[in-house]
Amino acid sequence: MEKKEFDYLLQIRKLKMHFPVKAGIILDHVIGWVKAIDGVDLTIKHRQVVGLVGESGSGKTTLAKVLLLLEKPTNGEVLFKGKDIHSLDVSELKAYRRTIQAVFQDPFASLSPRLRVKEIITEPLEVSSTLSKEELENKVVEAMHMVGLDTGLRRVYPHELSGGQRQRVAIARAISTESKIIILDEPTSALDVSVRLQIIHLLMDLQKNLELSYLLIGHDLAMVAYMSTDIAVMYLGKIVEFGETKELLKNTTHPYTQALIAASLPDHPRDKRERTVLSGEIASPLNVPPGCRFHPRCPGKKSICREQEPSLVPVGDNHWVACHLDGQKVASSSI
Amino acid sequence: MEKKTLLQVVGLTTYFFSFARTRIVKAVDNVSFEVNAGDRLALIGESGCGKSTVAASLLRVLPPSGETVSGKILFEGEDLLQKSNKEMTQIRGRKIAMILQDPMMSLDPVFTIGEQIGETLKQHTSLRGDSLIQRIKELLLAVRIPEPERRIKQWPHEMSGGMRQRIVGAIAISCEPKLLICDEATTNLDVTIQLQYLHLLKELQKNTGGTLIFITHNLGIVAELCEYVLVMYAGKIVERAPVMDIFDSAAHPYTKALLDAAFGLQDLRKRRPIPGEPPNLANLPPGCSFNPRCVYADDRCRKEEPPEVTLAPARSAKCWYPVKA
Repeated sequence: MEKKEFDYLLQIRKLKMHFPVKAGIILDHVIGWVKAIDGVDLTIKHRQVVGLVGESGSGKTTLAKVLLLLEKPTNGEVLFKGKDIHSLDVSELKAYRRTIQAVFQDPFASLSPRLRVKEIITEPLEVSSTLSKEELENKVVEAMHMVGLDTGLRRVYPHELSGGQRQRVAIARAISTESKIIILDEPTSALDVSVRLQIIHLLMDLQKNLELSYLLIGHDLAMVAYMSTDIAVMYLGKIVEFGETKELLKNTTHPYTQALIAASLPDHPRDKRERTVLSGEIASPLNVPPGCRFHPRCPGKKSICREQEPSLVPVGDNHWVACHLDGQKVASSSI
Repeated sequence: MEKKTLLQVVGLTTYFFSFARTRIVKAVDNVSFEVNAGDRLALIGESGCGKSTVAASLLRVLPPSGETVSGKILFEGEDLLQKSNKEMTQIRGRKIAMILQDPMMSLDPVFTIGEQIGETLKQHTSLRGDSLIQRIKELLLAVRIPEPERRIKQWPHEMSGGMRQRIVGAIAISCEPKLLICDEATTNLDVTIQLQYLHLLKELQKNTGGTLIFITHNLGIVAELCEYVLVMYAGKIVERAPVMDIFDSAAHPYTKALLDAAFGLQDLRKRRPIPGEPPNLANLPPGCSFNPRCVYADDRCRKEEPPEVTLAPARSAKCWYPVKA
């Protein structure tokens, strides 16, 4: 048994996930690699809410899949209690799967239409523990209480529930195993505006009361900033900036993060600050630009940016940036 | 300068019926509003409040179970509900165009980009051959798609989401419509691409002098782009006001609640969620539809439906106790 205490829950080290692109029908051969994740280092500590933001195609969801053991990474490791999650033995694997759970974007797709609510909530428990029927029933009632669901709903099927209720079921399922980390992949994108905030507040309360850690994946920076203690900004398979939420918003350093903030819509029509439009679109991960991968869209690029890839360096307390420009404010001067 | 009214909707009522007409969903219930030529109007509300049904009723593209049971849609003074199907075909795409949420659904995967833009042009104009190709290229450049010669022969799957949405935009503006309806047109786009697209729409609208109706639930888009706002709840318009008034002094409790629940990067303080869930349109509560979720609701709100109260010129709220500025 592992006795040593680790100051982190999960440590991702130099993680790479490359998918081969094949051509040919009979004699297929690899013609290229999609570099979905290209060297990511990230640590998730106890009670930390890490927000992961970036455009579609930046590798956020692939990272979640690697953590959930749905993809085997090409390179690098994910440490859980000092061991790589992809080389755990059977009992360790059970413990890991109990520790990490996920809530996905679309509660219409992530709940089986053939199972009743209570079966959905107990399924992960039945796999990972040996509880009796009564104990399972108690767990269901407890989990449903925690997520604010009427326990009378435990015998209904998902189609009888509203979107918000379904997402509550998905959350109940994720906490039923006494998990420590929950991966939230756009947990509120499919919900109505008015219900969205209820779910976000529920998640924030659970995090506090159950001392959970979250990896929150989202593309809405305002929503992610609202929930997270720290934010990691991802671009084309790499983390380009990482910092505590307040620090990152105050001293935004990477031009891409600056552009994300500049492109976010105003809170009020009187807020007529210059909203800079970032030119172009995210490059294909099949064909990652040399040097800094953001340079083709960067308004402040220098010649070094085309040649040398910047690495993450600390620029403040708990704040890292991968950029050659030394924190120059560039986004506001473009266009 | 007096602005010309482009569109006048009077008492529009659209219901959806179940198979044997035993159940009625009142998706749009007695909705009236006006749009002046050159305006940018926002129609906001949660999903299921009837905002998309308003758009479908305007273009008369309701699904078979839906029916506009009463009302008038006066477009340039003529009632669209009295037009024959043939006449409507002449209006759709030429005078009123629409951009939908999902560009993968609104583009046909088996036709090239050029063919799809050309289809609308062939229907409504006499452009053919080289001049048609020329016009398609102009349109692609207008929506900032580089290398139109190459793109014109490409298929929708060869393009990114942002590009596809711009193609849909090119089709929508191809005949320089007087009215462009954008139904959640940027919901599927990334933030940086969303802003590009919004600026593009605004510029196109300014250049052609067209009118925009933006159907959305994103208050950021409203703040960025729109001049006048209609708030819908459970099939009815509950508040109408210029955009500044909506954000500064919303009068209807629902509008206030929507604003309190929206996120902002400038302000990370705790937000207040709206309690409860949107109502079932087939089974609305008596009185004011919002009363079960409203913090100010009293007995009167639970029994009698509130009238629309005019608060100022071009401002009104459908509430017994409008919060006055």
